[in-house]
Amino acid sequence: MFELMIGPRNPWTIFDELESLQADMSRLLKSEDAALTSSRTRAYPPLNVWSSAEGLTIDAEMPGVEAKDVEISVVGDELSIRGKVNGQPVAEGETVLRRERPAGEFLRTLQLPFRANTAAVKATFQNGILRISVPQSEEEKPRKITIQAS
Amino acid sequence: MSKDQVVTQEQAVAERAPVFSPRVDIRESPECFTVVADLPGADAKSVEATVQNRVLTIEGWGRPAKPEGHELLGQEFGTGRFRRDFTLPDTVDSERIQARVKCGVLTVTLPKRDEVKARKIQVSG
Repeated sequence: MFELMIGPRNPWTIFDELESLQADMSRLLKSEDAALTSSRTRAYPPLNVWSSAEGLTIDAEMPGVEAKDVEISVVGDELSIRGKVNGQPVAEGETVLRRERPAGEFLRTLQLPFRANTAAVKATFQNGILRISVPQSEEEKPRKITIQAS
Repeated sequence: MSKDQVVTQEQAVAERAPVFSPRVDIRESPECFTVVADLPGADAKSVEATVQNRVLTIEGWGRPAKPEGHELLGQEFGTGRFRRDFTLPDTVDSERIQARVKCGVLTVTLPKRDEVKARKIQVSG
C-alpha cells in the first residue's frame, strides 16, 4: 500500500478535503451556535444594568409575571430574583400552535460589584418590567480623606 | 413647512428606533384562536392591534429608558418597539376580534366564523 502514498494523487483525497471542509464548517457553526445560546440569550430574566454614584439600577424583563410571583433577595453582594412565569396550563380542548414565550420557574443570581445597603433596596414592577435599585452600603462608598497638617 | 410635514418627520424619528419581534404563543380552540404576545413595558395606551386585509399587526412600546444620572453596565434587552404581523386564516371573524393587555402581555382573541365551526348534523333514518 506504500505505492499509493508516493504514487499519483489519490482520486479519493478530494473527498477527504471535502470532509475536512465539512468538519471545519460544522465546527464554525457549532461555535456560532454556542455563542447564540450563551448565558446572554438564555438567562431568564434578561437584565439591563445601570450604575450611578449611589449604586446600581437593574431592569428585568418578565412580561406576564405578577408581583406576587416574584421574590427578590439581597445578601451581602449577591442579588437573587426568583419566581415563576406563565404557569397556566393549556385549557381543555385547546391546541398549542406555537410556543415561543418562556414558561416555568426561574432563579437568577447576580454578583454585585459592592456590598449592598440591603435595607435601602427598592423595587417597582410595571407592565412586566421589574426595576430594582440597589444602593451601595455606606461603609463601602469612597471617602475623601483629609490630610492633616503635621 | 406644513404641519403635516412636521408630524411626518417626528414619525420618521420614531421609526428609526429599533423594532423587535415579540415572542408569541398561539393556541386554537374550537371557538377561536388566541395570540399571546410578550410586549414588556406596554400598557393599554402604548399598544396597538390592527387588522387589515386579513393581516393582524400588533405593536407595542414603553420599555424603560436609561435612568437619570446612570451609566450602562450591561444590556441584555433593547429599548425599542415591538411589532409583528400575522396572516389570519379565512376562518377568523375579523369583526369580533378582542384584545387586552396585562402585565406587559397582549392577548388577542380571534373568534372563528360561525359557519366554519364544527356542527353535528342530525341524521334521520
